[in-house]
Order: sequence, then structure tokens, then C-alpha cells
Amino acid sequence: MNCKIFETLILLKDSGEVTESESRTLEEHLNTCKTCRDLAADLASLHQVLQNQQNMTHAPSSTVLETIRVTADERVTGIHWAIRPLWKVALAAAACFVVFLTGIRFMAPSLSKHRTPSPEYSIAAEIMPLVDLVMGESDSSADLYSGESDLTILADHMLILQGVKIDSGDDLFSEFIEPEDTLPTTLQWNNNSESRLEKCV
Amino acid sequence: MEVSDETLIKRFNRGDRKALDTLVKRYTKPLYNFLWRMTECESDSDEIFQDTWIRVIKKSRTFRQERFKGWLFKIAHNLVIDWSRRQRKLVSLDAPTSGPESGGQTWGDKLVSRDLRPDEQVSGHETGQAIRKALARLPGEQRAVFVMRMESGMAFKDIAKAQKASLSTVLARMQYALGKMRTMLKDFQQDGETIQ
Repeated sequence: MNCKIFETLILLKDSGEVTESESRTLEEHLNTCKTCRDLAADLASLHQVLQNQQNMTHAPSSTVLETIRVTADERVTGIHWAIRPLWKVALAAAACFVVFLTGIRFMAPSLSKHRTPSPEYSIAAEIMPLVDLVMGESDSSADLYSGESDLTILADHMLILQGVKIDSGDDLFSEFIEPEDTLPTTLQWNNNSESRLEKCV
Repeated sequence: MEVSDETLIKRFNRGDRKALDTLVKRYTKPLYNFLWRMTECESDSDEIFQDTWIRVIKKSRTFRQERFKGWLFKIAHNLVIDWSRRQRKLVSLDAPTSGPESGGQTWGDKLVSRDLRPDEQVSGHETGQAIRKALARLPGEQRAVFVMRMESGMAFKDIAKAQKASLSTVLARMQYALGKMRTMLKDFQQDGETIQ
């Protein structure tokens, strides 16, 4: 019988890499072959010697182990940030967004106090009572606009809003681009003058 | 029940620092013994041991389904090859040392004639000397297979992965190594020395 095959099987059995049937075959062969039995015995003996030696042998220095530990720590710290669970990241982002929105909510009124109203806004504020008046929803129309055609006033204001310059004789609205100072706080219309309109280019 | 190496490396990849500690403790002895047998030098063994684990740490994310032990020793084996290329030791152990005072002594003889290590002084230097000398005379790849199997307890299929060789090649290397070791150790015995 070819002992080369069984030499291989002896090695594989020593490392626990044989099947049960291979093991049985090897045992049968060892019962009949002294050469292979000697090989198996030498292998076992060598194992024993090396094991005994190993128990007393070397170890890496503490510096080496410390370096490995430090490298592992650095890596783990990196991993910690890289693979933090997604829901935590999402939660943190949502919290930041809520804080941002809250800030906007509380800051908005204070910002609006400092905003200068546009000329159109001022004029609109003026004409709203007139609109009410025309629509018959104002009770104080007689006090405010006695003797003047309410519709004419309203029409003039609407034209101003659309960018039309009004020449009323005293240039009351000729500079309406700076309305806060030039526009009257209450309407004092010249009863005798006819409003003359010219389109502003 | 012991946690498998593969589970531990996955845990480390998820940020479990202690998982790596367990792996290092588990493989310190077999890996260091392998390196010591291959280099016969404490500082070189230290250096390669450290480099091996640093590579494991840095490349742990690339680790897939294969056996950790085979992967670890593959890294170590590659580093030993790099080291031997630098040192020119593995190929020149049987070559005679140069110089007029060498007297036909080989690098292998010179290597094992160094001062005895403490363990050899304690356990009787004959055994240690005989094994060291026999191992030093083995070609690099055969020695690597022999040490990985006999000292580090690796399975042949893991050794095959570590050496990037087929199982039959690794088994053949082991057979040659074992045959030479047996012959050399018997010679030592005949010269009046004992193995055990």
C-alpha cells in the first residue's frame, strides 16, 4: 500500500481535518504499517516538545501592545462618528431645525418694528376708510369728507397707487415717492381745484 | 461559549474596542511564537507582531467571510516575507558565512550558536538548541508551514490561505519539513543529545 497517502492522512488527522471514514482507514493502516506508526509517534512527540517549549517562550513587549491599543482606540473613535445610528443623526438634525424655527418666530416681530412702510402701504392705509365710505360701511364719512366727492378722492388715490402723478395745484402729491413726510396724515383736499392727472413715465 | 473570531472582528468594526483586545489576547502566543521561530530575533518579532495587528485594525473593514486566523497569519506571513527580503536570512541559512574566520560555518550554525534564551537555560538547552538548529535549516516556506502547524496550531487549509498556496502544496511542504526535522533530531540523539 502507498504510505505517502497515509503520511498525508496522519498530518491531516493531527490537525483535525479528516473525515470519520478517513480516520478509520488510517487506523486500519497504522495497525499494519510500522513506518507510518513511527511517523505518527514522532509527530505526537514533536508536538509535545514544542508545546513544552511554548509554555516558557516569548511575549511581545508592553510597548508593542500599547501601540496596538492606541491604534485600535483611534480607529474606534473614527468608527464611532462614522457609523453612529442614522436615527440619532436625524434626531439631532430635527432638533437643530426646531431651534432655528423658534428663533425665527421670536425674532420676526422685532424685525418688523424697524421696517419702513412703503409709500403704497401708507396710501392704502389712507384710502381704506374711503373705500369703507364708498361702500357705505363708515359712520364717520360726514365728519371726514364733507363737501368733497368721495369717489374723486378715491380715484385719485388709486391712480397714485398705480404710479400716476396728480397735479392738484399745490403739488400736494407730486413727490409721493417719499410719502411719510409729504403725504398728509389726514386728507385736506383743495375744494376749488380741479384734479388734473398726468401720467408719470 | 467562546465568541468566534469572525464575530469579534465584526464587533470591532462596529466600534467595540474590547473585541479587538480579546482577539489580540487569543492570538498573542501563537502569532508571536510563529514570528519568533521565523525571525529568531525578539525586536524583529516585536516589530512584525505590531505591524500585523496594525494592518488588521486598518483593514478590518475589508475582512469578509474568510477565517480570521488564516487572514491574520496571511498578513503576518507576508510581513515575514518582506522582512526576510530585507534581511536575506531565509535564503542564506545554509550558505557559508563569509570572512576568513568563518571556518565553513553556515548562517544557520551561527544563528543557533547565539547565547541561550532564558527558557533554554531553564529547561535544558539540548532540546531548544536541537529544535532551533533543525528549524533554522529548513527552507523558509517549509519552516513557515511547520511552525504555523506545530506551534501555532493552524489547520492546513488556513495555512494554505496564509501562504496563498494549494492544500496539496502545503501538505507536501509539511511532509518535507517533518521528514527533515525527524532526520535532524535523530542525528542529534545519536550524537548523545536528547529531545525530551
